Amino acid sequence: MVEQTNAQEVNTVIQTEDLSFKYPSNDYYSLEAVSLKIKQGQCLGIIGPNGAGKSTLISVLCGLLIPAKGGVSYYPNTNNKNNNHKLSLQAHIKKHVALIPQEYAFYPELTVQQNLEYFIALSEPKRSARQALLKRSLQQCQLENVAKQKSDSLSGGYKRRLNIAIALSKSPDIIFLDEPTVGIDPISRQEIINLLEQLKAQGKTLIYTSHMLTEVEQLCDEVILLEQGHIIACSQQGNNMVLTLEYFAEQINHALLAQLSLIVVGGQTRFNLNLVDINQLQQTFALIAVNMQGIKSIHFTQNSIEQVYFDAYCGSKTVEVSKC
Amino acid sequence: MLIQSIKKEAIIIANDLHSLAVLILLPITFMLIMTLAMGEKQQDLVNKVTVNISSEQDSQYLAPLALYLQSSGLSVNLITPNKTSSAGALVGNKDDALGNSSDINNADVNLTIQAGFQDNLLLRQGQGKLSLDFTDKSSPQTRLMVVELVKVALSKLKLHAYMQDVGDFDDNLTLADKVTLVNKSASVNYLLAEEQQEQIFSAPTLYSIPSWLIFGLYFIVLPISTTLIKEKENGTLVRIQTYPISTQYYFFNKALSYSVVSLFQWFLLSCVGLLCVPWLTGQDILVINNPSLYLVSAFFIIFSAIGFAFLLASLVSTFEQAIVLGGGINILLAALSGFMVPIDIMPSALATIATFSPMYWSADLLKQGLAGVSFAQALPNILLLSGFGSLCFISALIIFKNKTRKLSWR
Repeated sequence: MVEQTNAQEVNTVIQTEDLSFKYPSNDYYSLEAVSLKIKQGQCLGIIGPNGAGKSTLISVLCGLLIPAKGGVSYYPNTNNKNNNHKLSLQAHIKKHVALIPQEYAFYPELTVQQNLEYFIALSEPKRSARQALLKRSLQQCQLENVAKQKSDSLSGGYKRRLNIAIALSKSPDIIFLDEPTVGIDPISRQEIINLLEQLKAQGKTLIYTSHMLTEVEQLCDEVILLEQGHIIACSQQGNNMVLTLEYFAEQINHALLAQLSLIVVGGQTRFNLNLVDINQLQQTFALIAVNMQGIKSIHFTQNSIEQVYFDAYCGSKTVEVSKC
Repeated sequence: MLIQSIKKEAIIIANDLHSLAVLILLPITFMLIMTLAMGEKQQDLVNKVTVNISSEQDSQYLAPLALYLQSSGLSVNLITPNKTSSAGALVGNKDDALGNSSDINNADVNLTIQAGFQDNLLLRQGQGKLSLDFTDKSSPQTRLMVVELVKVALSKLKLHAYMQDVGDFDDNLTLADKVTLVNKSASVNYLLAEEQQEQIFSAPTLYSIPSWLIFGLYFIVLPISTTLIKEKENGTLVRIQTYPISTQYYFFNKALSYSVVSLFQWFLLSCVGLLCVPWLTGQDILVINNPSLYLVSAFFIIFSAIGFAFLLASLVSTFEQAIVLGGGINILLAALSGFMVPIDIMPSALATIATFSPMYWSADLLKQGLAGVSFAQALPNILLLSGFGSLCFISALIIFKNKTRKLSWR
């Protein structure tokens, strides 16, 4: 059910609590104890290797699959004055959520305009409103020039745009995207990224899965890493800070190292400190400031999502696992 | 939404050459072929058969028998010890003055009057009979037909012998006159009632046009199946699941859209079948004797065909399954329903099975509309199609809902 709790106060639009899902044919959980909060206007990236549970998580989040344990709660978008607070979960999803699958989920035999007209008719009963939606969707995705063109004859970039335009024509508040830029040239890709950034700026909530980690980094405010149905790591924009501390082993205050409780990488004379949030950063600096003896140098850098990904899936233990 | 849905399905079908071929070209081709095949009248078949008739002894009945056989339409060569001539030459037809030697050699049947036949004919004395010797190329149907025609000719010959015996023939009558007189006396056409009605039912177009029109309508299963499979495979169905419409609303909208497409197909095939095919095949144009029944029948037939198509489409998961199951079942039903081999020449068990086929009910209902029977007479077919269509729709909806429930983001 759509809940009205204090989650609204922080503009949470989707929340899951110990969510688990098992396919009938499997004897293991494809998702296990997944808890997350997605805020309005946020872009959440879900990454992980094939079979990690990304698609299952999205299917459960969109109400396509029913979880075995736990639940999904959708909170009415507080910015949308037209929300009916009594909407059931399914009705809420059908009204506010749009999917952009990796496949071209439209009819190749129809023109761009005919495709949009059909999908708009599925969600908008008023004829007068349909025309405005059509015009807006074409404009938003820069499809006006190819509106009369058969979808099958479009270039890969335009097909991707049409895929997005169909989703946008529903005027959703939450959009699930599955590799929306796969198989297209860099210019078209950047145009789509720009479009998605515009949507973010408009307050739309995006849930994004992709293997293109640079895109994920560019777009997402928060990224969760899945493995075997579990969230194994969570990375927020600006919190993948790495503090590299070089020191003289014989001079350093070992109490400092113990206090920091950091994972040692690189032997006796160097630390890599993964800092999860600004408070942790402040605390760390405060500790170092009073124990400067023996410190050779301090380097402050930010980890890329790619580094986080490889650290998570290729065995390095440098990533701090945090609760999202 | 319905208009957009109809527009979408129509465009998809119009863009799919395979669907167009299956829905339009295939039934029209079958209509033409089967009308041509069945349009060859019995008389045309009879005319193709050549009979050589000869006698072991010089028989006075050789020539009359040849003429009676010829009057039934057979090509007859009269072979006597002195010469060979066509039966037509006996009545002064100059074109038939001499039998064509190639015809004689290629005769389908050699008919020989045995010695003593004359005594056996009226008095039933002796063993003289008529022997029929068919060549290997004669089909079983031709053999049966020739035997029946020979029996008719022998009956006339017996009447001829009787009239001769009792002196019913004037002395100045020629053989041709006598044959004409006997043919007139033996005619039984005046005894046949409802000749007009029989003519309607015996028109080959009445048999082939409704049958292949129905065949085309039921083949809507292929475009429906392929569209549903494509929608499932490319994620459209998953996407539609997140739209504010229920599965059953989407299902019935789709069914209604395809019904409109089928209605257009029915109208097009009716026009071609009732007007163009008879014109192209030299048959009489088919008249709809009960237009209201013909129109109403379209709705029930389409309801049943779409229901059946959705049931099959909801069962299949791949294009291969759609072609094998959808196409295969339709062809099997068409064969069982007597579209390829008329039911009346099927073994009784098969003919009984045919009466349980929705295609048979559909074709029968359409024929009833053409023949002009009353609504009351057509009611059993209407009820059967309604029941079958409803059952199919309910089953299809249950299966479709179950399948869509299992859909997930891939």
